[in-house]
Amino acid sequence: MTDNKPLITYSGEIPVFQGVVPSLQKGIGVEAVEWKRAYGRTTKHVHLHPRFVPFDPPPSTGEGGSITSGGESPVLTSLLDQPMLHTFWTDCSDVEVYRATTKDVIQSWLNSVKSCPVKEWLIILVEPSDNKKTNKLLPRSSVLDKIKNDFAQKQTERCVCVADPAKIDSKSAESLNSMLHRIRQLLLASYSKTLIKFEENMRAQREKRNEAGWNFCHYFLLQEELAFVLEMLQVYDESLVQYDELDALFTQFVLNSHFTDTPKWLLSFQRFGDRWPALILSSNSGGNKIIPQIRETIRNSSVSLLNFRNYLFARQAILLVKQRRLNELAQRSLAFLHICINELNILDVTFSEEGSISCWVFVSCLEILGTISNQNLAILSATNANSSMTNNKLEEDSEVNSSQVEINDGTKRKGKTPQHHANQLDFSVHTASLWDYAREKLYELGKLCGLLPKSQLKSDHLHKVISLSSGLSPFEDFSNSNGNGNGSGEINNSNCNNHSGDEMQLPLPELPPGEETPIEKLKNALSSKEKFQHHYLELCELAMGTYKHIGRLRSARKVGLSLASYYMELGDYGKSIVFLTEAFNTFKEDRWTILTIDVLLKLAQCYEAVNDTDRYIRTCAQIACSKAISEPERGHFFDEMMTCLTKLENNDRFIMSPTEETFLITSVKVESSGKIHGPSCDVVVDLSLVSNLPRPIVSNLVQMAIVVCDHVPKQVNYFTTGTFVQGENISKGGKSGGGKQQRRKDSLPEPDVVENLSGKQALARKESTTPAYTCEDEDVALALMEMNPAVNMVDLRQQFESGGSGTNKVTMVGVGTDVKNNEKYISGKLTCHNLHQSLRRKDSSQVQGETQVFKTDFSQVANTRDITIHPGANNITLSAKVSIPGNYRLAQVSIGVKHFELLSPRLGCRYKFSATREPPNISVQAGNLVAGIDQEVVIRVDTGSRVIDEGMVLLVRSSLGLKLKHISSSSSDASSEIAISMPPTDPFVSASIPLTVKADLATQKDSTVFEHKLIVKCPWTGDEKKLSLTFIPPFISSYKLHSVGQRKFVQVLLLGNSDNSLKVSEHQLTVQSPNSQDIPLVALNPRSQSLILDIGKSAAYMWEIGVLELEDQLPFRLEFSVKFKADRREAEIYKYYICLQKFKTLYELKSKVEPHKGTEFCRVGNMCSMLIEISKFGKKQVDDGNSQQPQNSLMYEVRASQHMWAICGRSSGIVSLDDENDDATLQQVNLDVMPMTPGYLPLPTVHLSNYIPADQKSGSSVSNVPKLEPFNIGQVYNRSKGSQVHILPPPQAMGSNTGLSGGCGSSIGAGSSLTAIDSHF
Amino acid sequence: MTDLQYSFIVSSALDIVEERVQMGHQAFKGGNPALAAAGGVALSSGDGPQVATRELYLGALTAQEEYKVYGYMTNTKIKFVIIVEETSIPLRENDIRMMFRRLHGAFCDLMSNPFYLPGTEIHSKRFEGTINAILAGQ
Repeated sequence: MTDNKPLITYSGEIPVFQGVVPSLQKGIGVEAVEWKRAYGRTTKHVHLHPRFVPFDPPPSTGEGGSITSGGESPVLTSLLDQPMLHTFWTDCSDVEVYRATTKDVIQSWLNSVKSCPVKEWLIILVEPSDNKKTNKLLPRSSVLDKIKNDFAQKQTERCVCVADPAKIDSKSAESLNSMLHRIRQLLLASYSKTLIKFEENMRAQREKRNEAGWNFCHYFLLQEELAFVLEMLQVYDESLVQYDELDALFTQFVLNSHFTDTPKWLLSFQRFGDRWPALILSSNSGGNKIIPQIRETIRNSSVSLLNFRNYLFARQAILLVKQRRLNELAQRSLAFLHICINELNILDVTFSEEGSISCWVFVSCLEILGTISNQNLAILSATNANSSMTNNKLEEDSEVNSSQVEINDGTKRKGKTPQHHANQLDFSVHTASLWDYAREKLYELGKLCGLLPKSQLKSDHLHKVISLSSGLSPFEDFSNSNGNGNGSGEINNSNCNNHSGDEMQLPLPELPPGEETPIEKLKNALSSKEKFQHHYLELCELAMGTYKHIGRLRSARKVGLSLASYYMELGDYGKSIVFLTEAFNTFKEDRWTILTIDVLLKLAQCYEAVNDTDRYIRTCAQIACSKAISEPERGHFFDEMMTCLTKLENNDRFIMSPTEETFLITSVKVESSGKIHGPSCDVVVDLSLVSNLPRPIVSNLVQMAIVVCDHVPKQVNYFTTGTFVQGENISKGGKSGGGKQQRRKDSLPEPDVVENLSGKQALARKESTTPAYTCEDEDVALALMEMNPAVNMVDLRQQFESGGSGTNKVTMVGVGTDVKNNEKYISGKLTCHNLHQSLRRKDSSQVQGETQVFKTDFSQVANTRDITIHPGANNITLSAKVSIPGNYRLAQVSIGVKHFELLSPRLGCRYKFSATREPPNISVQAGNLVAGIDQEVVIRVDTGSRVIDEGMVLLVRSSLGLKLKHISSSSSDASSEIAISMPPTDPFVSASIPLTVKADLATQKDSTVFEHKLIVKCPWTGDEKKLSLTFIPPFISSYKLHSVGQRKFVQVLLLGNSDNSLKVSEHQLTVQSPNSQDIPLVALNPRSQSLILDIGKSAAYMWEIGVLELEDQLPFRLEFSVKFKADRREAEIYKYYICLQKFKTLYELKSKVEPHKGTEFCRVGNMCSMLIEISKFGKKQVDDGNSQQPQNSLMYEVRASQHMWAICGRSSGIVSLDDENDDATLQQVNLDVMPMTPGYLPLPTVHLSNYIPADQKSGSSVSNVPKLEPFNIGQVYNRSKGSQVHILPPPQAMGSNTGLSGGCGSSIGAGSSLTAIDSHF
Repeated sequence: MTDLQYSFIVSSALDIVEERVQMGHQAFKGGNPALAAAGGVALSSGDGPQVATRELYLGALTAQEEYKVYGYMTNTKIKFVIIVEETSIPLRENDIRMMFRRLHGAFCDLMSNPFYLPGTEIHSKRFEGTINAILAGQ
């Protein structure tokens, strides 16, 4: 392949040059030269591959390639054909010869070089191998020195001597190398200089762009010249910059043309409306010929916009490919196409054929895509193979390129391989839209040319195809030349005239052989319906696949929709449905109503066409509910749905569908007593829903599933549980182990840390292991989320805080207990581990709707039938009966319309109720029951969830001493066991059964209550239940024995105890002993006395007992009986027993306190004397009881409060009263006592007891010690009991003797009165 | 263009929004600031909790013959998409950016309204007014 190369001229002795040139050609390009450039541009390393041309002295006038401006120095307009270095070769070794001829030749050569635009030169002296000997003598005046002296006094580097290259020795190689280096340096320096100059000129030209005569095309060619040179020097990126600048400049012109007057040159761009030349990037689609031709039209300023754009882009593409920037090429492509179209619009370029632009876009897209994929393959294979070059040109270029970018070595290139792979993936991001674009355009074309499935192919269509495809060639007659390979000589010729063809040959990448060019493809695709379909589907597939590949699902769906439409036109509804459903799901996930509806409408059409009634109905329902479409349309689909449903009515199959938008449940209220009534519990569910259907609809069955739910509440407390478990563990670990354990935890957080997963996470885990997601799981998950929306997100972990190791990933709830001095302390820390994740806002598009609805267990339902659901809000009341106790939740709503069943999303555990079965309860109600009288009690039977059936009998037994009678029973007998037939009742009713009870009045001494039991047999279960009844006695009775001397009185006291007033009458006291008749009892109360006793009131009855005849050694029983009567009841008898023994008076006691002799009054602090007299009674009786009175020793004790009396004498002593001796029947004891406080003081009390001295004779231990025996009540009669003595206050300080102050009130005798009757207790 | 077509455009643009954001994320994770900046994410300096301060404006997302699509995503992942019809007077990048800023401001005001339920359709005179002003180029 030919290429542009830097030109170097040669002159002088041609044979000499030709001898050296092979090593030159080889040598120059081997090493890279560092190219330092002006304006701070980056330094590049450049390989030069120059071409040597014979020196051709320029014509004296500035004609051809150069224009002289101002006569001074020619301004360069072209660079490629400029030799950049002039060389002169000579092997003159003889100074004489040199002087004679060579010098002049060189001089004239140099003169002509000076007239060239580029004046860089170099003189090379080739030293023949045998030269050395002859010149040995004159080394200083060698030819080289002469030359230097003559021509290059200041620039000695312009003269080079080289040893004969034919010779192989180190010296000649060295000299060759130095020469090569010199050539490279000079060549580059020449370029630098020239380019700077060139750029200056270029900029100057550009500044003139708003001037009248300025022509963009000319400027374009000028700057392109620079681009060519840079490309030639393999500085591709900068070459590309030139084109990009031109691109931007042009774009700016076009945009500005809208505001300002269109420049004249721009008008030419609007001319060619009958051509829409395809973009051609590859050489074998004719690019090699076309590109120069376009360039020629640019030169002529006759280029069309599309041609110009094509050309520009092709150049940019080539440069990008050379730099292996395929990705960028892909990226630029779409923008290029759009910009072109935009510019065509701005410039108002009209085309002769409709669809021409589509043609152009289509072909261009394919061209770009083809190039990218081929080039990528080439690069890949080149990199992979790393040796053999399939595409030599490309390989060479890329190799050079890579070495330019980075100092080349093999390892680096290997390292680049993955990057290429990455690049290849990256293409898809850009190519996807190109495929899509091409697809779109092909469809448009197909539509125009009548190639769509439904259109009729007509002759105009064929005509259209022909004119469209013919317009694709860049020039009027080029299609022929391209197709047939002849003709179009004119343009070609003109091209050749101006340029030596080789130079303009642009290296276009080649298409692999055998592949269709895009133009052929288009022609092929438009040739017939079948072909079109083939191509179109292929493109769709490619576009969709690429979109999916790069993750642009929505875009893929969009293509899918087009494909679906195509299939619909084709009548292949099955395929359409697949694409439509995919699209539907995607859009629905995004909740994109308008798009969803669009898809739904198409889906409906498909389902109708394929007669899929189920889905059709479902889809109709969905459409009918959408607010995005018009009312009549909604109505239409509603009618469709209803008609279809009517058709299905005879079927027994049900169509199930999620409610989705059809019915939105707004609220659910459960009302339930929670208790099972009889067989079941009534549950009423108030369901509020919004119907989005356009018209009322009759639902024949609305159901709500009732599902047992019992496991959810347990999980709520999970948090706490976990926490405590952790605490336990630590405390077990103990104090010493704690630290280690903790440290280990910090280092190994994953396995050791007890993850306090909240329920949802645990569940998530479960999900991952078991993908099958059952209804129940789903519900539980929902329920958990409802309870705590944060649950599923926050990854809370528990970690025990250890003192030192402050971890940066402490993440948990830690509650620990540590045993330290037997004290527990608890520390807690709650940190969110995955803060970023959990607090991150969820993308709305990721919210997943429930697409599939499982039907839960509808075996237990609340339902209602034949309900009309109106559009808008509805309230539906459902009812159910639940017969098994338990916790329930409402799981799902099902709305049946004919054979169409709409299932709501699952409701989770939001709506719960419980049904409990309450057991029957039997209790007894009674007031304060009084024993001994008939009283009413009520047995209450709370039926609970049960019902009392007809004829049910309640069996009641009573404990001993309790008699029962049903209040309504006719028989008057009370018994201890009765059967009561109960009235039939409903559940939760309490039946009261009144009973009359009467507790026997047992003889009793105190006020304790009587406990009785009612034993009731439960009619349902047969269990016996004990009900206790408490009876209180009607009275509390007591008695007192009173003595007066020897006379005895017994007093019975009745204290009313019951709330009821009781009428007491007919009191009676009888002796129970066998000789009862002999003992006279004299009642002191009137016999007919009757009293009313209320609670707290007491009645006293008194009898005197005739004691004289009585022998009191034996117990003496008295029975007190009295009749009592409650209101309107029969009188009952109350009995009270008294037992008396040894109650006759034996001794009489008398005591007295007197002042001492000589003092008149008792005073505080003065000693008084106390006299005690003990006398004995009833001598005679005593005789009888000899055995009882073997001795009559009595012990007296005087006791008094210390505050009142100080007893000074013997406070106790023994006196004996001898029966034999009469004198001894009275004993007197004197004591000294001192009053301690003034006032009326009771006398010190004297206590008597029987003294039994120790029995000396008998050995029994019992009688070894003396004993004191107390007397029974009544045996000692204290005559002075209750008497008092008046004590005066102590005398004043001085006058204890005066008695003046103490005299007052002294008239009251110290000997006090005695009560007639004295009680002794 | 019909609403449907607009919807399609915006829907497809969301793909690219996701892509851009993802790109930013990856760059952020990989700690490549240059790439991050390209993806619209700048790294915050310091060792503290890394907070990505993302450039909200996502730039031109996609283009067709007739229009260009620009994207913007707030930190709360609210996405704004502006479709600009291709005219001879091209809008400058900065203009678009300003439009998004104003839109964002208007949206913030809207969200601050306690009577507006986030996620529901927007019926706000004020919001509409701002939009109209933006569209009118005021």
